[in-house]
Amino acid sequence: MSRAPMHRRAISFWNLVERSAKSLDAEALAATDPIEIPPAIVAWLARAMLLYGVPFEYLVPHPAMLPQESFRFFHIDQNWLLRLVEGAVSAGVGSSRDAIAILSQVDAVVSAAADKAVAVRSELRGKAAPQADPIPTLTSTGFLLRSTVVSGWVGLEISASDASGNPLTLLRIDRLSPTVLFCLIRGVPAKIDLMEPPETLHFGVLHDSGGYNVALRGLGFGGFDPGVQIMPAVTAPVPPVTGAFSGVLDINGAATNLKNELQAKGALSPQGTFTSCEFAIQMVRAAGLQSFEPKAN
Amino acid sequence: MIEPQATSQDISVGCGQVLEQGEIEFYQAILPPLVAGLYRLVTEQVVTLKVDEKKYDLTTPFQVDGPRFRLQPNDVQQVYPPANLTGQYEESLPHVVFRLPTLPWSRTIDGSAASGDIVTTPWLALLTLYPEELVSGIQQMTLNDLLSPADSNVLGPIIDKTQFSAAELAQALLAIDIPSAVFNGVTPSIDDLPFLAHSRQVNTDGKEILGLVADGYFSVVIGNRLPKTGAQNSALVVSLEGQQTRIRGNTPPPVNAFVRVAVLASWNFTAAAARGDFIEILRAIPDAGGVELLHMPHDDFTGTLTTAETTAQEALDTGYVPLLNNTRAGEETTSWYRSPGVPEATSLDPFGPYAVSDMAIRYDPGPMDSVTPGSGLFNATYACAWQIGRLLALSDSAFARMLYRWRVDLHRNDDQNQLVADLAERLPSLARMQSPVGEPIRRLDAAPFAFIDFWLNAGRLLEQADLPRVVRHEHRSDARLPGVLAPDALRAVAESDDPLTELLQRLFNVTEVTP
Repeated sequence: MSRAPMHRRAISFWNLVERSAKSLDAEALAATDPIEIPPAIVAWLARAMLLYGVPFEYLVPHPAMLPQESFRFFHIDQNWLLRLVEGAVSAGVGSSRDAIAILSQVDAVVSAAADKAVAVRSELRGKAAPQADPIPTLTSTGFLLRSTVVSGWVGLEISASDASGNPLTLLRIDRLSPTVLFCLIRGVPAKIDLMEPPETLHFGVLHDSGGYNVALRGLGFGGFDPGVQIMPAVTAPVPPVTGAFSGVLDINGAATNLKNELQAKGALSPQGTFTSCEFAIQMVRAAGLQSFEPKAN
Repeated sequence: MIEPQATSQDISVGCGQVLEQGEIEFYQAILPPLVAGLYRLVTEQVVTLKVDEKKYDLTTPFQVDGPRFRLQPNDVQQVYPPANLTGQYEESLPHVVFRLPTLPWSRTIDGSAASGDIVTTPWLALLTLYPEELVSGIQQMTLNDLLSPADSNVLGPIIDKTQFSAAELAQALLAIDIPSAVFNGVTPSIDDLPFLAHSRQVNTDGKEILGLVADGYFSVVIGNRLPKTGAQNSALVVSLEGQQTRIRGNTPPPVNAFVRVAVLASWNFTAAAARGDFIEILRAIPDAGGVELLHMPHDDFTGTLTTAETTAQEALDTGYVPLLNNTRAGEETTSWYRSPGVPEATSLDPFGPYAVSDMAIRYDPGPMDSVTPGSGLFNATYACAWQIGRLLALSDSAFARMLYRWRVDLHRNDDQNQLVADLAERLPSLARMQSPVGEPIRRLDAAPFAFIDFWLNAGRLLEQADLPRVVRHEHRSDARLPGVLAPDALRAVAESDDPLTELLQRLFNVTEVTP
């Protein structure tokens, strides 16, 4: 026996013994042991799958698709994300052997990155990752909002829920420009709520072309729950005091209007009480909330 | 399609016995047992004797005191809009929250006695003054200065001065002189005042403990005037006690006169320029830019459509946009492109993965059946996606380095797997290997048993195995590799009587092995 083969056998022994210690399954011995995809690569691709870094012109290829004051809902093209990931990992391909080694990993990479994508936003905010849910990882939707509310209300809040009212995970919320908001949602929402940033509960009026008014809220009588806006919305005008001093409101007049409107709705107590506490409930200006319901074509 | 839904303006109002966290219970007023003022406690005792009865009485004067011309700093729980901030307050009425739940009703506006459960008119008001209306600032003065101003043009509150001692009259307070026309114009009327103060109970679970008012009762005074936009507004909590004949709804005092009022609290805030209303802007969206699915808008296709028109309509409605591009050869052409945001849900296609972007170019996204001629256009969507992915990767050198390391690891792993797989193929009996106790070896710490089994069968196995004879050069002498002996140790092995036994002993003896 020559030296070299013996040496080689010793190496092979070591490998065999090591493997056999893990499992004696003959198939497992033959099967390849997949190498873990480096977490940093997965994290990078997860961000890419949330379209971070994709130029705006590729998201909205023509200005007419997103005019001023518009809301555009969309589904994410899963194939687009696959191609994006393939392009990204192709930067590591230098030979046909590399191509086989790396492209054979694309499926694993995509699913790892898609799983990771769910946690990107919570990681950015330093929060715990949302619970895993059964929605297929590549099924995501989103919307673009181009409006002055994006610049005017910086803390604008978004929430999305599915048909049964369960909240959906928001994958990404970004202002692409001062007036363009880009939001990605995991799953297909039945309702998207845009909410004014909630500040202190405060008092105020709504302003429209007809002047100042307030929308009526129930007081717990006549079947109207206390604090809940009466639907369909009924408003009562809040008259300003005419005179040299602008902005002064005729509180007593407003109270009378509110009382009359509530009485007409049957929302007042049987005694018809309308005092400062009923007035306060009507005048509270809760954070405005506007819902959009994307419906299937 | 997408339709905007109605606005929600709901608030959480509690009306049960137990307030949930975040709920608020509103009260018209929380009345003090006695409003502030001077009282006499009269006690009378009648002693009946056999012959006559004797009356004894005792009158004890006492005073119910309460904030009148000044407040303690921590009496104010909160103000809105926040002090010294700039914000969108053009449709907000300022308000102030007091920790004293009875404060607005603790005295009467005209000094009269309050009777029983009747809710009195609040004596506090929250004024909002615009910058041009502030002629003089808030000044510190004594109570005497407030009640009897030196300047006859300045009208102090009508309060009986004789009830105060000299020491009280010398106490300092804050007051402001407001032009009488302004005062008469911006104050709430006597009918407004009852609506502008209320009490509330808040569940304080979600808040810090507030000391004296941990039960969460507060009183609130609301202003009656909207702030001026684009300017600094002053919010003043003033006492209207003794001013009831000068507030709005009364004949204004002489034009050049000033009304002097005690200021119990004040703050400034700036209302930013008007920007419209959140809800109104959102509600206007359907009529302005529209609420739609992301796609390229186009005019209606009318009449009988040609095949090309059908294809174009279908492509536009599914999110494609025709864009000019240059081919590799330099020719200018029009190709379809589609954003990752598409108007309808997609399913995974069976194509890919692609090693180069050109493989992702599709020809003709039109109807796929062979009868219909295609549009004759390329679809560059996925080729673009591929290229963007590659450009993003290349623009990030850290990521490119990670990819390189990963590739090397993949290749090394492949090599190793290949080696082991070859060996396993040649050693079929290995699958039957068991530990001495008869259990299949599953865990790494059972490895020594495997070593023993190996040791017992090694000779036989080795003779059966037809192992490759070629050893990669760099593996021959690298002592760091698993199972490799240093050259001198190897020499000793080769020169021993039984080289194989010697070798295995050395290998599996702990000291020599480098796993």
